[in-house]
Amino acid sequence: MSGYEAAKRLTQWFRQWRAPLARFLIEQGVVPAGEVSDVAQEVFLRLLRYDRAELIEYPQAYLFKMAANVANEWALRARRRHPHEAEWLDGLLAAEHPEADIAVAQAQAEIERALCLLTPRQRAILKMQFSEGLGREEIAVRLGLTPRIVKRELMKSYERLRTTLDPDLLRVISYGRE
Amino acid sequence: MDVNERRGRAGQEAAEWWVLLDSEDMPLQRRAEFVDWLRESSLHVEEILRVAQVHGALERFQGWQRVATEKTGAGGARVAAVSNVASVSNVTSFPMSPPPTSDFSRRPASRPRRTWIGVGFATAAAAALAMWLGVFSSSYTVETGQGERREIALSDGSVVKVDPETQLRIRFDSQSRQIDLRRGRARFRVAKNPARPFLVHADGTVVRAVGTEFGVEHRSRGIVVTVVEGRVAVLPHEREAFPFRDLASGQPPSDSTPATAPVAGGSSWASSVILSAGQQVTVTRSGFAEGVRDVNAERELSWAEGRLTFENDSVASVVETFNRYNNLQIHVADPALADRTMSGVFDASDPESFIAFLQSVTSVSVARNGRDITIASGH
Repeated sequence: MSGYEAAKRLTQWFRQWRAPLARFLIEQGVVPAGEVSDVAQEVFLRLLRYDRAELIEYPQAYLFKMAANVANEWALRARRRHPHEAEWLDGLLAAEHPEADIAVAQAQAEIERALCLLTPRQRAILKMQFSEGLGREEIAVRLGLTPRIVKRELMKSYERLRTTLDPDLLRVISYGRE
Repeated sequence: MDVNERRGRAGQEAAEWWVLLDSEDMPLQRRAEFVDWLRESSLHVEEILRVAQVHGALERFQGWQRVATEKTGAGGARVAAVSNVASVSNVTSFPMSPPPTSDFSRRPASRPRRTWIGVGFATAAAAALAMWLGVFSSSYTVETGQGERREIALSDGSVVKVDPETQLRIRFDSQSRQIDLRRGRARFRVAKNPARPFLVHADGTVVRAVGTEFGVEHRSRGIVVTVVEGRVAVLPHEREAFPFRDLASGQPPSDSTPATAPVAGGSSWASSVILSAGQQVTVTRSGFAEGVRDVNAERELSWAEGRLTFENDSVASVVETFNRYNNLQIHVADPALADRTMSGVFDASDPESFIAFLQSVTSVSVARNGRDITIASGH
């Protein structure tokens, strides 16, 4: 694969996946964790209304763009309903306050706690992926595993973290960073 | 299956899909299956969004050095070294705040040699980072026509409400977020990010915000800035060829800075006017900032919600405003009526209510011809 092709693919990759995901992660910071199911309900309805052939082209991009838009609209509606509370704005401004630093520290501690509940092998895989940015093949080589097992372990890790991490704490850490 | 079982099942499937999605190639057949899975149940959508949040948290987790891993598998000998290769950490994930300065990990006696994989990755990661910044350093123009209002969500989480007949250019890069408001007006809700100041340029005036909500309007008297929440700095007279970059690195408005007092650092922001919530300032065409007024900011910016507020405005200017919002065009036939002043709050999309109002306070004749309405002092 030429450098040009690689760069092109990487650009594609960012457009289809990373950029919409990042926007969703930023937007969802204004939605209380309990309301994510409402956001999901609306995204679900929009997905049903959309042309399937189009969705199939860039499923991740559509999913996260819709989710980011819905989260954003949700926040605007909430603000219109309670114009004086302006909670989301407090949240924005709080990003620089000491309490927010504490909340971020709590979120970091929460992630660490949840990671400790995984098996050492699962932790090793996640650490290589997120801390060192290794691909799955590289991780497999390093750990002497098959790529299939690495994939399996990642799936199990995500599933476990999904049930053990406190989503309300995660909002803090996900918001406002690009 | 009860609710919890169904959720558990959905969560498991979501995690599986996530790992498949998060690899570079997903053939069409797989993507179709994924879309069908999403469209099966809102629970599936919810679970994939929650897994996305978990992923986001892992990308922003900064304590990897403290996470213990054990030697596992046949290649275990190399695993011990792995935890110490920290030089490329944080690169694949989104650009974010620097890693914590306190490093609890035990430093190895000798630094492990980086393998070719690591080097290759570092290069790829640098490329990825460049791409990523590329995504953010976007520049595009937004233009609205007569009667067209738009709400734009920017990539940083900020939201702009654009009024009819407005043109603005959005230029985002890693250093700053800049908007050129060429004409018309817009209301900004700015996502806080002190590292990337948010600057609005209008006719030489620069408005700088960190995290706040405010409106900027081209009006007949000049540029009007109104603050709803937070604080912004208004720099009345931007020097002709003043580089944007310098403005971006100037001093942001801070709570300790009194209005119009010099700002440490001697930047051009020294001459800026600091506005707090509920304040408004007009910068005249000559670049002179009039005194700061206390206003009802929500009311002043009610146009962003489709409401028009008039206070002792001439019928001519009220009509002009309505015409900007609607296809239906009103014409004032005689100067006496045009000069008459009036006050009131109207729905922008309802010019008829304005005409009805006029008729209730004075004698007005109304002639209709398709989309045109001509009003004149009545008989």
